[in-house]
Amino acid sequence: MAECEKIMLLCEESLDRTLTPEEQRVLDRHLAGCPACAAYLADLRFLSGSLGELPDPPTGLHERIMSSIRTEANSGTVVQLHRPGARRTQVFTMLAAAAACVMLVLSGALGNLMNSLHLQVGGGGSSSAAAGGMEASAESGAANTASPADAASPAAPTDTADAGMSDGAAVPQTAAESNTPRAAKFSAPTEPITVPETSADNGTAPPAAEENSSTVPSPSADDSTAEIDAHIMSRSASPADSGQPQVAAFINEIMAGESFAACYLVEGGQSLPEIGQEQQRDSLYAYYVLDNNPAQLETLLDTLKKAGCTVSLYTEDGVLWNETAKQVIFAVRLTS
Amino acid sequence: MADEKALMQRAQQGDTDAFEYIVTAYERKVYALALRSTGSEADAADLTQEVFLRAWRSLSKFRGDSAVSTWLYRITMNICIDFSRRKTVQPVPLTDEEGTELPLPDNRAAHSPEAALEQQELSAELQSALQELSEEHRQAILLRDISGLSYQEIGRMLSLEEGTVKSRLSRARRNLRSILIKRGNISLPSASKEQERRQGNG
Repeated sequence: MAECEKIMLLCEESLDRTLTPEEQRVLDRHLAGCPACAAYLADLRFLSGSLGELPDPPTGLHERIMSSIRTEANSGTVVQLHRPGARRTQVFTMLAAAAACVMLVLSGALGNLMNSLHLQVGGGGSSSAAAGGMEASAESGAANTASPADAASPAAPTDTADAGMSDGAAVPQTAAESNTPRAAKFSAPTEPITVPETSADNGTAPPAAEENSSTVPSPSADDSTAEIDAHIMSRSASPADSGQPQVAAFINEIMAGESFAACYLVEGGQSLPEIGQEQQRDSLYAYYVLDNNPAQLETLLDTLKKAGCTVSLYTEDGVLWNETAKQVIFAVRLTS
Repeated sequence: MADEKALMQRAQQGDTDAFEYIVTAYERKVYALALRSTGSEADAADLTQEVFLRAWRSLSKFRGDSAVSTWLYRITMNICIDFSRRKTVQPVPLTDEEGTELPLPDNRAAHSPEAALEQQELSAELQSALQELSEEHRQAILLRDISGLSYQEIGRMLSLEEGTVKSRLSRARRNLRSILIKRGNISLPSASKEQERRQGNG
């Protein structure tokens, strides 16, 4: 029996790779005298072969695909796909457009408020520049919520580039990727945001600057996720939060092909401690992709809490979470 | 492989013709994955379209350190799983008030001779057996047998150790086989041999 169990594993492996001559000999010898295992291998081959026979896609599918892509490429707008179950996309677009409109109206009035968030890009960034950047991304957000063009924001002066780079531990490798023109454009906002305490030419030190001086997370002895949960104010954000569809869009569309263990929503706070390198920004959130390292995350959550930020765990069924994924997302709300 | 990278670079600069080569190269496999995941031809076609549109939108995120195939299959699996979850949670509306785009009629099987009918039955049977598997098991089988990914590639995609992929795949295949044997509607080689043996003895 135990022998057959081993042979069944060999049968499976024989489908996936070439067995060593020795393994093959063992398999052949066993199969000659064991009809059950021989039948098992025959079935496996049959099933694998049947699945490998690819069905023909319906006529016209290729044209349909290319036409939606060309439409989107030429017009710069997001093509809406109509299919059963896709209604969320439409709702999402409406919400995003509404959010963008609100942003447009309020961005002037909220200039000062935004200023207090310390999220301006670049050390010399005045409040009007920050508000202007928000307005620009809000506008593009209305037209094309999932486009990389959302990312356009005022470029950071290069002399502050070291500020974010110094935090090697928390900077995900995903940031080093701008080797094409499109990617280069896209990566503009991944230049480090100027965190006041590390900026030489920005005089506006936040109240919590001293506490945040060591933002490089140090490995802690306690790695338990229960500890991390203790830092999270609420398990899920309020359903009325219109920013959630944008977060889903970021995860599903912009970061499609990556898997994440979780997404933390960060809101409020008097200052924003250094989180890492900004990956992307839309009209509502700045996104950071960090290593899924419990000790580091705990330190970061602690720092965020000290800075007065509210952190909630973003839970959305439409997003594929992978508990064992190596990365997590931080979405930092840009407005109060 | 090198060609694919070059095509991707052109596509990243907005060249839709270059992207079309990628679509042509992978649409069959993406469609097969979607069909085996959802069990519906119409849904599979819609999802295939969505996969490539999403791929187009996230071209700038393609870094080239994974193969184009792995990248596309991952998007496919994400979209399929997302779709099946949405489908189970929300009742699907029968009509779309805008009613602009109806699913294409599928008349492929119309001209099929008997052999194709048999193939279709097998395919349908396999299809419903796959739906009985857990999402985890189905995913492992599809990535291996349709996409042809190695243990290592599947592991990287699902953030699993290679050994875990191997054992998951092993359990998945055994489950699939026993589901089919239990249903008895499909002639697995083992079943026909069993029959021969019985006939020989009797």
